[in-house]
Amino acid sequence: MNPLPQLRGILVGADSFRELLLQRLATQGRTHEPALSSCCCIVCCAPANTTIIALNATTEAETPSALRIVGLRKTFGKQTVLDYLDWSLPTGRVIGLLGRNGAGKSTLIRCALGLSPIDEGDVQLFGEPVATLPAATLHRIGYVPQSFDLFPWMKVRQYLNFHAAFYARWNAEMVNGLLGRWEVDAAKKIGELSQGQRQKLAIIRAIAPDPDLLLLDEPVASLDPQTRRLFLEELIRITRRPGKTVVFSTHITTDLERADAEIALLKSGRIQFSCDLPTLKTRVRRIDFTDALPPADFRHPGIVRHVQENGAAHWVVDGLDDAAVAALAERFGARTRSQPMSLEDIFIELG
Amino acid sequence: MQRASMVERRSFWRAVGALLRLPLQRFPLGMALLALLLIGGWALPLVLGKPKAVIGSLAVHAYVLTLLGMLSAMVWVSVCRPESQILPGFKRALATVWGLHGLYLILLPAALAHAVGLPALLTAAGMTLLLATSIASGSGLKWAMFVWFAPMLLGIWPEFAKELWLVLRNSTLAPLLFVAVAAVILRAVWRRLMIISDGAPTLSPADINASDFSAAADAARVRQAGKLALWIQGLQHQLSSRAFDGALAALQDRQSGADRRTLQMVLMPNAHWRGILLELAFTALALGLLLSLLAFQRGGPPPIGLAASYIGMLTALRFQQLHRATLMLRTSLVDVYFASAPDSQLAFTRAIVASLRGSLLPSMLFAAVLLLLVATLYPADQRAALIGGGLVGAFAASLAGLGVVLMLLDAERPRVLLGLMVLAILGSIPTSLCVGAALRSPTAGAVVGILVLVAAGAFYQRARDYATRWPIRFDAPL
Repeated sequence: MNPLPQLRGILVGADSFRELLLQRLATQGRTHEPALSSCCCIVCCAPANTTIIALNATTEAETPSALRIVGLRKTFGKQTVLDYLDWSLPTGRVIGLLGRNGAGKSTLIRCALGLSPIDEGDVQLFGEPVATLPAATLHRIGYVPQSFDLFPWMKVRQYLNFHAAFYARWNAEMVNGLLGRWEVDAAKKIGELSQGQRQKLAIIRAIAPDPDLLLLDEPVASLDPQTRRLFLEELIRITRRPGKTVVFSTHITTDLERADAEIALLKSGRIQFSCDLPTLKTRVRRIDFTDALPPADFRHPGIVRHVQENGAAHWVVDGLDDAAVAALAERFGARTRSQPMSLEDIFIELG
Repeated sequence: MQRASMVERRSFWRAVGALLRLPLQRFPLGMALLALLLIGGWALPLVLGKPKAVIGSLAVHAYVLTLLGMLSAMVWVSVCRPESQILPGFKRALATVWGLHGLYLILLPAALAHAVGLPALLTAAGMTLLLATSIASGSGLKWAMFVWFAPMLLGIWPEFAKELWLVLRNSTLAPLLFVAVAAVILRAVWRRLMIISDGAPTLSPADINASDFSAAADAARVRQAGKLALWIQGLQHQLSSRAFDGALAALQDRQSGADRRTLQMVLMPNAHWRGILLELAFTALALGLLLSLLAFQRGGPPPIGLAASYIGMLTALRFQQLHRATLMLRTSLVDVYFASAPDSQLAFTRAIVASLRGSLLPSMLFAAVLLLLVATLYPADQRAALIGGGLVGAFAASLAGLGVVLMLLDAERPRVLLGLMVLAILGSIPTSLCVGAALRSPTAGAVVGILVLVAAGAFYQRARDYATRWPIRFDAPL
């Protein structure tokens, strides 16, 4: 098995260690794994082709993980969906999980919660193996499934009361407030609710116990823009409190930008990178050429895409800094202009 | 620390309460009736003033316990999804609920039995086994259905039942055996309820010809269903896939009736001749084994009318699955509706109703196999009456069963209990009537057969008219 998982598991997103790592990167002989071509490292968003150091055991103790996945493999028949995936989420983060349809986002979330059997690997929530989570840990977890098809015969109020009974913490005031603001009729049967209303209910139910880790599987897919905005406000309010970790998968990238989420990209069965949005936007940019154009067949590490049409050309670069771009442009006698890309455009290029 | 554990304890008992309330919320009327029945049963000795009436109380209690176990298990199945297992203390709370149910459903009758000098230990063990079996049936364990053959067989052979009772009553090991079997059953149910799996695609819920091993594709279910079951499922899928390809090819060639055939294949993927033959082979094998076992029993065959009514009932009960499934398939029918592009939505309803008629042939073949095999138990002079009368009765039962499906085509939700009761009655009565009359004389058989068929035909006709009165709804059932 890949020896890096343990290390990655410890390091992903650990701010306090990034600095340390970056200072010491050059001192060790192990090469960083660039994520996609030359994007940031999946471990700590450090530049590509840098080196990584091994950390000692004290590191793990100092960076408590809400979720830690090591070497997770999940197959459906002959199809491998998650391929020795490693991922670690420190507490206090909002992470947007991006990935194309069928990339395995829902499967990853379900495996992380122990709701789907896995073939290999180790999953821990708050340091506890997911297969044997004690009640105290379960109290700290909230989950919104992608499709809500449970308990169609229950009335909304019955459903919420049923779940409230299991939790030591249950914010009834917030539940009632959200039911009103989101216009979910508590007297209706779940089977009579629209898909959007069911999704609202699932979100209310998931955040009512004030969880420390909230996993939301495409929670806004069926919500109207108004409710989506309200949901994001609620989410931001939750995540402002210390120690709260939120993972949500979505295709609506503007929501991730609004929530100021870190971005994790799931592709080919692995988390390709996980880093904050400004870092990602710095690394993945569009370079427009003026004066002269590079040859159409020009290839170089760090150039994700080369587009040449109607007498103009641009590159999408990943991890190439300004100096490197300028050096390349100089070879063709061209001038360049760097353009920031929206997260959606980045996702289209890298996803 | 102490406060935290107190809060957790309190939330645990709240959870137990919530789980206890679930069956009341799901089946309020059924639960109220059962409670009344239970109270009535317990009041029997007081009302009658006879201690012997306690036996009646125990019988009522056993009846209520059975239904309560089945209904509660149906609710637990709907709640025990993988998602529920991340509710804090869910498993412990559910186990506690089982324990509490056991306390009053098992210990109370045992105490009553003890008070009037009946074997208390055996009563408690018997109730435990009955409760475990009913929970297993309600939770949808396929093999649990076979357990109900035991009381059916004991009803058929009352002498043997009496002897068995005497043996059990005097045996000190019998209660232990009952409890051990109950423990094995409950463990299997628990494992099924707590299983974490990815599920698997199914052919169609409407398939009354499939052996329903469809949820058995992943590793966890492989263990539960077994390799033979999976092999059968694979074979069924293969055959139905081939039949579906054939129907599509016929549709492309614009052969007459191909659209109806395709719709039929969507609704009942195994209702093609290979699938029907496969099902008949399995039915014959299973019943053949059962009859071989019965051949070793003393006391001769059961009353012929009873056997006929059972066959009619089994034939009609197949339509319960069809009823449930036509409702579940409603949303998926949208695609078929647009693809087939009928003249109107009403025309599509008529096409569905016509397609459902395709369920009559396999049902009749199923009844014919049962009748032919069961007829071997009876003297030659009774066989013709059983087969002839049985076939007519089974046809009437099938017509009535399909009629029920059509009448409920527009239902908001599956009417499981109502459907089971109505189908059981509609299935058993015409078959036993026809066979009973045919035994007296062929003429009487013919007259009763015609009357029964006319009645069933009229019911079916009425149901068909009712079903085709308005366009089919595409809403998912509640």
